[in-house]
Amino acid sequence: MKEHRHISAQFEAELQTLQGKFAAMGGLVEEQVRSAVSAFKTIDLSLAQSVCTRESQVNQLEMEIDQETTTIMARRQPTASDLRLLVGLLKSSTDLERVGDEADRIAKVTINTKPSSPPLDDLRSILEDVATLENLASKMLRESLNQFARKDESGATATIEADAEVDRVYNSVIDSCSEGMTRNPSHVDEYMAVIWVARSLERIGDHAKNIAENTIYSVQGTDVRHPNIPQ
Amino acid sequence: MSEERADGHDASTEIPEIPTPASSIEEAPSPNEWKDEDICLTVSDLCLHYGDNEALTDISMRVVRRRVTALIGPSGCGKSTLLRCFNRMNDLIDDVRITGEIELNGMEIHSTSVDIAQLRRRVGMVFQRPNPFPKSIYENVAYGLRLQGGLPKSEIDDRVEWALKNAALWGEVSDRLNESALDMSGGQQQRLVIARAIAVQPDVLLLDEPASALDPISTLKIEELIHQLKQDYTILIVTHNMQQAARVSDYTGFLYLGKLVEYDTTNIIFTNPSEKRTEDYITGRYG
Repeated sequence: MKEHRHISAQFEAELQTLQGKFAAMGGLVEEQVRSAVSAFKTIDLSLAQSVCTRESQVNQLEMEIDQETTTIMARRQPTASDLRLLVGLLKSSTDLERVGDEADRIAKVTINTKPSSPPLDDLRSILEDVATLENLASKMLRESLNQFARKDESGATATIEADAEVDRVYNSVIDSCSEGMTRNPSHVDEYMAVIWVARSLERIGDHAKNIAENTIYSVQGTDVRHPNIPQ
Repeated sequence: MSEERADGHDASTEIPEIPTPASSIEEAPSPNEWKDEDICLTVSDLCLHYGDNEALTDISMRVVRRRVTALIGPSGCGKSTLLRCFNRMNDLIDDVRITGEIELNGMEIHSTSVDIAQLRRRVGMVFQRPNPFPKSIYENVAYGLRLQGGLPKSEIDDRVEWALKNAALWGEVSDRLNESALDMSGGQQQRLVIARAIAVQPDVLLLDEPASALDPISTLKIEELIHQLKQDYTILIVTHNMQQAARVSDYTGFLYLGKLVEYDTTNIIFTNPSEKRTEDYITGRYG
């Protein structure tokens, strides 16, 4: 159904600006995750450092979105779909900021871990699973942001369902690392680094799922977070 | 983790710059950022008595040019009385005594040299209930222009069209300018009255509850019109409706018992006011 414009052109502009800012934050956070994982895989310390440096930009955007949403709520008294959109934006920007924190954690793991020489074959195969995890979590994040922007609640439902696969691969990585540490106790630090990165990627999937849930709330007004609690 | 390092790429260029969109959420400059040339009206130590009753006490405030300033407060707080001071409408009431000063662009409006008719042309006013004259739509807008005298018909035609366009009414009435204004809807009549006020190109527009007699959609149209008009006019609005003040104004003054309790940007007043009485009033805790 075609959305009509608000009578107040200024309110319309404010909502669009806020959504634009959220999209920019999403783009920045996606790039942070991509760079952080790339830095980890290639042990690129300067790239990891640049991820840590940019973390403050993500935080800055979150604060601006919070402040502007508060101002719009105080001055425009949004109702119905406008109110749900702003609540969804406020909650989703918190999730995005936490995704930024996870990218920062991955970058710090890269900076603080000393790789072995020569590398373990065992770890190489686990890193393939980590790459799969990264692809799944990044796809969830990208799609959840697109769905929020396009008000695509059916796509958001698919994103929520995709989190189960992220959890499955994550558990597989954890199991493999546990076994690897038993076999190669002198390389515990490297296995732990992989576990930390996998854990961050799994958390990124959770945050993308939250954003997808916020999309459904914004569009339909339905709270799908806890299906076992009757609404 | 492999030991190979990324070869040769410059990490500093790895992440592209993502431009952050500029905020279009209007941030009016805070009072400490105002420059003298931004000021249209200056009120100094203004007191107003009706007989023995003091209705306004020591009001001092500055009103910024081409911004919307809202006056809010409970019934009887003096906000309409203060508004009427700006075009000396209180002169029409018996037993009123005013002390203090009001300067309009540097001119003291109580000065004996001030022509009141001229002052009221420069400071137009719109009231709560639409009050079109029982004349045609065209004649309502042309009325003030004819009073000025000396304008040829073609210029009056142009000014009427200009005023109706600026009052967001032209599209609805351009083909029935000769019909009676009294046949228009309430919302249209109020926009017509605003067109009548701006036709004489005042410096300031005083709006006294301009939307309180209108339905919600007409109210939003008037609010959008106010937002457009501030590009050319300094607007002061009195409203009982705090939400309306929050939506339309850049600055808000809270009056209580004839005193200006707090005056700041509307963002501050509605998100983090300094005074507890302001906080209580805007959050509905006023007793």
